[in-house]
Amino acid sequence: MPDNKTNLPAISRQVTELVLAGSTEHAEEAFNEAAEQFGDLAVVEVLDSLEPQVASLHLSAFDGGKLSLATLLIPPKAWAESLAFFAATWDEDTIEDEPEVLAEALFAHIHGVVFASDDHERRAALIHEALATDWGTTAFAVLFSTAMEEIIEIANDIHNHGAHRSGQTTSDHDVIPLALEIARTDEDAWNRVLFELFPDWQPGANELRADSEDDDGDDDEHGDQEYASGRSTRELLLRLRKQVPSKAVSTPKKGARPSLGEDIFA
Amino acid sequence: MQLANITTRPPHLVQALEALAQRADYRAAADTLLDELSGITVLVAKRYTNDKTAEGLQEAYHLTVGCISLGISQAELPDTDESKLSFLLHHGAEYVFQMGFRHIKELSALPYVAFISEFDNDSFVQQRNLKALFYEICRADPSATWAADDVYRRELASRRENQRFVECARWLRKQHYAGPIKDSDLDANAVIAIAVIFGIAGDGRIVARTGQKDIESLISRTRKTPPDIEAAWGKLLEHIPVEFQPLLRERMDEYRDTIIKKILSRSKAKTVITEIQDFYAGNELDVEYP
Repeated sequence: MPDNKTNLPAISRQVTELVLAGSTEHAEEAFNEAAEQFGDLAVVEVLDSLEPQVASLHLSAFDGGKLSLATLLIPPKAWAESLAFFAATWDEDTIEDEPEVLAEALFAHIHGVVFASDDHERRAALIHEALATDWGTTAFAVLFSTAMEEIIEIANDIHNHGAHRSGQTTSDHDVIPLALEIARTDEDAWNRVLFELFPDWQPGANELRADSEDDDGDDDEHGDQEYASGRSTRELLLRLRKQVPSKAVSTPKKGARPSLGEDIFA
Repeated sequence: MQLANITTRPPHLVQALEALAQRADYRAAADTLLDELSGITVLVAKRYTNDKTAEGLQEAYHLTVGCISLGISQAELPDTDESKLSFLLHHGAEYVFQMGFRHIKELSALPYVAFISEFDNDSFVQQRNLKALFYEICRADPSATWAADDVYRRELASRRENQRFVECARWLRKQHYAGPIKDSDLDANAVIAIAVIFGIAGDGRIVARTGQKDIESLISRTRKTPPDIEAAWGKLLEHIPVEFQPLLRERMDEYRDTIIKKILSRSKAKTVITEIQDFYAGNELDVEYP
């Protein structure tokens, strides 16, 4: 659709402005109009052209129940990039005080996007792109860290029987379908998440253990060899927060003088 | 009809930025400035306002604009936008902010009134005063007219004056005829007033503190044998360092026809004593009646 091309920069600019102004509802309306006028592909293109932090801001406004065209149509790669900014608004106090709330929000977001459509190819692509990034891997690890026992059970099962023959768990925890989806569609990705969650795990050499704090102290050495304990949700949230790209880091100014910092008050 | 001459101008930082906008290639300089200014704003918000709320950041933004403008205004530059801009770019916004903040610090270290109390040495009080002064002088709305540099200059002049009084009073206290006076509170005006009033006795003694009894005896002595006031004061001035003399002379001119006249007049001693206590000796009067 060569005719539509000319309209797209205008639409993405409009959407960007609306999102940054906090008016995600109106941004969504703009998407709807674009979809009606030019078709879904136009929306896909606009989503693709948005800055990842803008896309992230927009998507995060539509978690849990509210349906968004963007959730359905965002290109996997664009989504993977936007994930990097999901943690941008978290501060350390919140991570310390209520990690469950943040993990819950993250789950609502990821689950919402991945399971928005029944299209298996899209799901696989979303998972693949997200887990091809470090932050995406950490984000998924956060979700799994909320259900350590279950994930260990699945991990062991998959390790012993292969991804496609396992999947019978006793649990109905929300993250299980997501875990199985990953394990079945992308084995490398699955291994990366497990490694992010259990950095010390060596399959065959030691066993996974849910919580390292249980019997810390009485048999430290014994524990280190036999068990690989997982990172806590809080630890992973912090890791995710630290991966949010910041402009200062990405574009070091050349020629700029070194900052005085607090010495401006000296 | 003569119209009042009012000049309105935006904060110096805004003037500099307006000059920047006139330049052909301003991109790089503008980028650097933007980075520096937003960095400063965040630091100010963290330290003085609140970096978690929009109001806090807005407030910090105004403080940043004002403090940098103050830094520029006190650098004695030619009064053109361009020179302000080059100054800002040459030193960098952070250093200019630092200059402005140092002016505030300097001001805050000078006495607000010619009265020192022990609270003035408390670091908490000092920080509070610094913050109050920073808010008072540096809060600048970039779109409004700005005259905080004048406010600063006036305040600096008045505080320097206070500082002179304090130094003079400290010196007088050290020279007190009955040995140096040690007291953490100091009412500089009162010390100087006492020294000048007791100076009429003509004995060349420096009196920096007094009690009611001393005033009574001064009055009765001077009424018995009226002294040559000018000579007596001349004698007093001989003992005073040159830098404090004008200050004392000012007081002498002020008192010659007021309180001194009353001391020598035939008005009731009690009224005169009350007046000295209430309007001159202030906090430097020993309350006990020995």
